[in-house]
Amino acid sequence: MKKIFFLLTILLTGCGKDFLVRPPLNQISQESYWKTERDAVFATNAIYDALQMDLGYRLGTMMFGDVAGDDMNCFDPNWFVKVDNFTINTLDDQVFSSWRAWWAGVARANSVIMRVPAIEMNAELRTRLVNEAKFLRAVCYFNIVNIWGDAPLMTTELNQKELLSVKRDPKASIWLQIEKDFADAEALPLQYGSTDAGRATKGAAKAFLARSYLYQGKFELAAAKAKEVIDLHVYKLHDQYIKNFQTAYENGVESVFEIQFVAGTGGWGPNEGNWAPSYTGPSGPYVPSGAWSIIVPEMNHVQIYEVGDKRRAVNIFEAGSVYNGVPYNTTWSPTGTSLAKYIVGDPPVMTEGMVDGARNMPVIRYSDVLLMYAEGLNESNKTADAVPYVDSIRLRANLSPLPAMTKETLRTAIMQERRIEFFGEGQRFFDLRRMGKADEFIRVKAGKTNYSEPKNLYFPIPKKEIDLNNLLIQNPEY
Amino acid sequence: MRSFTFLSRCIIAMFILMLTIYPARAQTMANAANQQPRSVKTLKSMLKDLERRYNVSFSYDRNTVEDKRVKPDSAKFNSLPEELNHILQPLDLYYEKMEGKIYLILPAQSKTRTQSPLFTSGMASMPVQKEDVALNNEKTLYAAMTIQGRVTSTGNEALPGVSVQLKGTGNGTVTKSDGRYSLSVPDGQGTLLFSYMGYLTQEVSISNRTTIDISLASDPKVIGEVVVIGYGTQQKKDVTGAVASISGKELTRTSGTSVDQALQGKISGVYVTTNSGEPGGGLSVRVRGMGGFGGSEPLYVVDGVIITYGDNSTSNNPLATLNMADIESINVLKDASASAIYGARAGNGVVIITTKRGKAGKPRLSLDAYYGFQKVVRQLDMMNASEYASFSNESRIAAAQPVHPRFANPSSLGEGTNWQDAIFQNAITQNYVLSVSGGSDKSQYFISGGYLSQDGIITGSKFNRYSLRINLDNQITDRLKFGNSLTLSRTLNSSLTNGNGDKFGGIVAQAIRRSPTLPVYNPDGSWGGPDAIDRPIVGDILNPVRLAADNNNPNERLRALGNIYAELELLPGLSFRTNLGIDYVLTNFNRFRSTYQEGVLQNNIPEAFSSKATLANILGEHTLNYKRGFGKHNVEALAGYTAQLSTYEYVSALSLNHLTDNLTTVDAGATTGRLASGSKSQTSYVSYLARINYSFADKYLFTANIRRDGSSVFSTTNKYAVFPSFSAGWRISEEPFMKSAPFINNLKLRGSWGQVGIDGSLGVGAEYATIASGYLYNFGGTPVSGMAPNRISNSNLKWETVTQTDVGIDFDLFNRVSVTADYFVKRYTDMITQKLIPLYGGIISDEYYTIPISQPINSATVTNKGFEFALNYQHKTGDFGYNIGANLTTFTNKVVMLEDDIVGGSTGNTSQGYLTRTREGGSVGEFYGFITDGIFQDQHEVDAANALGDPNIPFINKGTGPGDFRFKDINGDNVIDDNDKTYIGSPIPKFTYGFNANLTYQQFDLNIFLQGVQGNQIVNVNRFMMESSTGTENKSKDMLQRWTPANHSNTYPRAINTDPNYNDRFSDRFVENGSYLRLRNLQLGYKLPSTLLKRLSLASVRVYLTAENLFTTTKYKGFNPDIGAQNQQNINNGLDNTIYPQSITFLGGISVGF
Repeated sequence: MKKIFFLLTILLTGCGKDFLVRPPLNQISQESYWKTERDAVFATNAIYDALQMDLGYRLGTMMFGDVAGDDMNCFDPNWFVKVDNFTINTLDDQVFSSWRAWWAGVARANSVIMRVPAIEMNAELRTRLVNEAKFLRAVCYFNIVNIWGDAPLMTTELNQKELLSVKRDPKASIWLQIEKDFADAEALPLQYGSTDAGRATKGAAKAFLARSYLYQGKFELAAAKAKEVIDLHVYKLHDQYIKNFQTAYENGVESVFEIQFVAGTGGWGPNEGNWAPSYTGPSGPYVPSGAWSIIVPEMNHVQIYEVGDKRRAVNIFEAGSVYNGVPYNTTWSPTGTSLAKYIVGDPPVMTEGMVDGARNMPVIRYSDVLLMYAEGLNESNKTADAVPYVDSIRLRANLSPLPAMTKETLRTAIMQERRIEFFGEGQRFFDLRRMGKADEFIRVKAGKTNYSEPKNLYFPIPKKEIDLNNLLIQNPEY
Repeated sequence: MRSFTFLSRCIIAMFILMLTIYPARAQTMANAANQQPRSVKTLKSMLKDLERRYNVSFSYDRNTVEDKRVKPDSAKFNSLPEELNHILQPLDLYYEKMEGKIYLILPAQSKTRTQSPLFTSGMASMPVQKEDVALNNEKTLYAAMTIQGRVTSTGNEALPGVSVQLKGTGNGTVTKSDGRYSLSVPDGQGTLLFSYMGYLTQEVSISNRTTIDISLASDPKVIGEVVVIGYGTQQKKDVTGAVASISGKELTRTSGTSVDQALQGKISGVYVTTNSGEPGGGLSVRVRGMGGFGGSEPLYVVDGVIITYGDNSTSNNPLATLNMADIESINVLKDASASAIYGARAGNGVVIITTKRGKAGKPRLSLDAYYGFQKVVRQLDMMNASEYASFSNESRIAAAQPVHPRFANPSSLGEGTNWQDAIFQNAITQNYVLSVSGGSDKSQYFISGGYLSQDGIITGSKFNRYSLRINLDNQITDRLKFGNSLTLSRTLNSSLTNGNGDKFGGIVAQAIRRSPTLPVYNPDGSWGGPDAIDRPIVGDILNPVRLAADNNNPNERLRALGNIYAELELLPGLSFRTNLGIDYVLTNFNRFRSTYQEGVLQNNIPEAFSSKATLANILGEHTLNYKRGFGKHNVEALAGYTAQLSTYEYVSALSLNHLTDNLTTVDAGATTGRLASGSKSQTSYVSYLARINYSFADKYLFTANIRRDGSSVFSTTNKYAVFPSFSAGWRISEEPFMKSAPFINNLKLRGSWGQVGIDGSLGVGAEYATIASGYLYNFGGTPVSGMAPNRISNSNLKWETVTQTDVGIDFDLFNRVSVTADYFVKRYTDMITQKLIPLYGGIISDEYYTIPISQPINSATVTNKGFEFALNYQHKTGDFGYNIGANLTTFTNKVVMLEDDIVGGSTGNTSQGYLTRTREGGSVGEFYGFITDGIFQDQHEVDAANALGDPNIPFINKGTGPGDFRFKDINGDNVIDDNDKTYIGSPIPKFTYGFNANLTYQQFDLNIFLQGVQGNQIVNVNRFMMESSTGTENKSKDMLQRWTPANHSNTYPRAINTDPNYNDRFSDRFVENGSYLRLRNLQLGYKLPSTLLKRLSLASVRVYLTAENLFTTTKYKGFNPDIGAQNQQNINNGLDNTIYPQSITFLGGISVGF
């Protein structure tokens, strides 16, 4: 009898070891993914997608870099008015969306860096994809550390339990990881074929590394790295500033890294279009498909331009501007001016959805590399060597070369040049902060009386996140 | 496909195994026979032995068998008849096989007598000497007359094998298979004694009658003598767990469409509420309280097949596919000891449904039919057209808005349209069941076909069921049995789209809301609706009559539910059973939205939607059963292995812009704009189970269960869990010291402890991290695919554990009263709740929307405690018999541990927020809202209140005026905001009860069934709009008493279309007492007397009249106080959100046995 029972048990349980293994049938599981070259490529593509998210590089850089600074305003209570006037709190939805975007990029990059090396595929492509992922992880952390300061440093996939036990690591260790990742990414190709245009390149890695050094005040290293970009001899300045914002010159000679957008993938919601024209533009004939003047220039910004600066017409619509044969109407914007650079380069596209711009968004242009090099040299006491690089930017803007400069006057000149050159490209607030000029320009000169340091040097960590993990300590005074 | 291969491999393996062990078994049998003890045995013990070995039972007069002994020998037998004859012949006894497995043992003389009734004729007047009757049967030969008759059960079924005896003599006979008997007696005096196992013995005085028909009442002591427990049956006296039974006969008294409906109020500890009054609508069944926060339906097992409850939608009740007339019994396993054999899925209790099987005998044909109608229990008292128009004017003037030009003279508008009259109808309901059963000793069959048609009380809704059942049992050899159960059913459910739980879109909601000034039809026959002048005043509320007429969406469900089994006796007492079950459900749903024009409201885009879902649920079970007695020790053991695989597949398609409204299929739509969707998922379980029942001297009873369950939804580390339980019983009534209290027929104390599980309805593979597509990026100006994780793995997750302790007592007194009482503590630990995943984890469900990503975790603890009490009293005196039952259940529910509060319940209006909140220390799904503090009677009061707050943040609102509600400032911050919400009621009753009386007098029977709930609250969501201040929707007549400068009401707010004070926010004024007592069923029946039956050549005929829900006493102001759970979620209990109302039913029916 025992024998029979034993036999029965064996027979029955031996029927199938995998019987209780039921992976999802309508979704790909981690276990079944990460097998082919295609898997590796698609997973890497999704990291780029994170950069493109709404409060990532799509609008987020403008929100923090421009609206929080002294050159841009927002009056719409549903959007960035609290960022503009520094009444931001820990419940802000826009800050929360931005937080979501950058961390999505970090997690997606971590998966690629962890899992792609084990995939059997073309070795060269495999290495490239891992390096792209490192580049993108560093870009995300670069934004995280700039917006929030200290942050959890995570370089592998974590499960829920592990996630809930992370703490904020000091900025220094984040910067260390950023430098390391960009350094690894320097192995990326110089250029890509047309179907891969927009991927991270060697130049982009070096330029971002230079910017990372600059933000940390490592001026000599910044200069050296910027020089390496120059020495690649693949970039030059467009003859006209406006070409940087024309669809025809996308990923052109001056472009080091830009966010890729296309039109025609749907309207409001998860589309692939650039939202900047609708957020910055005036409605009416300038953006026939609809625009809301949510992000608009500060009124005093127009006063900083030297006479003859060709960039003025590209940067702002103001009284007297004419676009597509239509004179600008100052009632179209609460400040009487509008940001022009995401509109003016191309003819108005009548068929576009409201947030369906085709133009790419610049992240690093070669003019930035030149100005970073100049700043690095100047701060390393090589002021004379630096001046020609600033002049090359001024020259294109139809301005005269700089007069004789001291280190201090050149520093101010570079700052002024950056302010105009990168107007509306998400750099101003961070430039002011790293130079220690935020209080002077934002609170004193722009009159944003709520601004106070150290509170407003960084933005608040969303309360919802701290509620889930109270090991995350909120930034001071929030 | 893999699963099928797996199962078929298992099955083939099983059968090969059975074949190979079969010859070996025969050998073992022979050996066992040789090893029988060679001492002299009593006939009684021999018969007991045979009962056990052949799974039969013997019925005999005690005198016939007592003191007889059987000489042992070494003879071998191939069959029971052979063995019986061998034993009985030397003792001058013989046997007669009755239906089923019952054998009568009779003295050889009675054989002669019953077979030759004429032999006694002409031998009158012989005196009977009572002293020597016991031994001298010859005396009866001189009997003077013959008495004939028929013995039936109270249900008018023929009772074969009933012993009929002339009292005080050995003169007797037994009834034949048609229940008829014939007995010769010396004269017309004396008393006949009718006795039968399981029935109360009756004495009837002959009084010179020659025909005595009688019906026997069942003995309460042995009522439901055998109860169905998991994977087997048990004598009720031996049960140590908490098991409640309900017979199929009781179920058929109600006209409901589904089994769970019939359970309402019948069993203590089982709380049934209605999610929708729609035909075929869903119910919530809760065994011993609200368990989890989500659904907590018990596990349903139909003929051994664990069925998947499927979707939780309110209008589709999967149990509605079963024909109630086919059900033999329902057993509810309540405590952990009883349910632990179902282990990981038994945490919410187990409901075992057993269908009828054939009995040996000539074919028994029966027809049951009823026909009747239903109507809505009550209507809500709404304003008529002129009242509505005045309200509209008043509300718009108060809001400084222009009034409707046509409402200048409201009284001229008269009554207008009563929209409830327009949608409610008297609905026909009818049901026909034809069944035939019978068979030989070796093979029995039960076949039935049913048709049910129930129109809804709202036009356009309808439920139809066609069902066929075939249950077969075959004794292939003495040791091998084989059979099956099978139901094939097709249900067509024309369910109202948005009929339920939609404050804005549903038909009921539209009927309440729509202006009575609008007509159903325009004079030209087109649909009535607002014109451009009406529309700003009366809004866009659609014509409910048109919505009902457009209800072109029959939901077809085809179901094959059944099993095949083989049972092999390996050794005496040891048997092996294999059971293969399948539950296959195909659901076909089609919906067509026609174009319409109601005044200026219109839709020009027709839309067709079609979906198909298949659920295939395959189950394999293999069990070994062992049953043996050793002197006073009795042991029963069970060991088994089961595997189950459920596969769900869904596909749907949608198209728009059909050329005409007559072409309603998807393919007739435009080729552009079509949408398709689909999904597939699988869940599997593997379980090992064992049970041992041990009793000593029939007094001390022990049961232990253990089940090890594995599930595909958990990760490798937590795939398996073990669920143990123990119970003990002490039958005090069997103790010698109790013999002095003979009125106590039975007294048993029970106690149990055990653990069972709940798998949390997680669906597929919570352990799997998944990757999704759709994260596009654009290289070189072209979007390319991106794939990113959208879920992280969750390997820590494990089963919810329910630990239950139960103490109970059963006692029967005077052969009349039986009582069962239980106290239980049910503790749910490691309950699964959703925990948000921090976004810095980088997982997002989609690109732009802030849908929080959460993951199930084991966190919460909930305790349910309760007391259950059931009483039955049964007696028969003369022609009058009665059977009275009552039951009572108390509830407590406490959330012992909960990390984050859980919110639930919505009105469909997002600004109203959630209606319930579950917190640590409270109970599941408490109502959460504001508390009203009267109405502001003048501007001074308003100003004084607003002055309490900051000048910028007034106490309530700057626009608040006299006639608006004042709300209580719960947190005392002088501002009324969301922080002033508090707990304002609970849907959980203090207790529920049922009362049943079944009275019989001669040919009449009367059944009364009352059911009630006490101490719960209901949120009357309908009143949110019926009593709001805004003027668009129609209002309750109660709002005629609204606050006006002339009428300072403190209950009903003023009319103001803008409602600046937000009077209709969720507050205590919408929370009502939900207690009720309802006459669920009243039935009067009449059985045709046997004389008439004989003339009609029918076995039985009963006609009856039934009324259901005839009256309800309640303070509740809605349609009906019996309110279930929205979407079956416990956090949504007791919310009356324009639920399809329940009905009163009147039926006439007939049951005919041929």
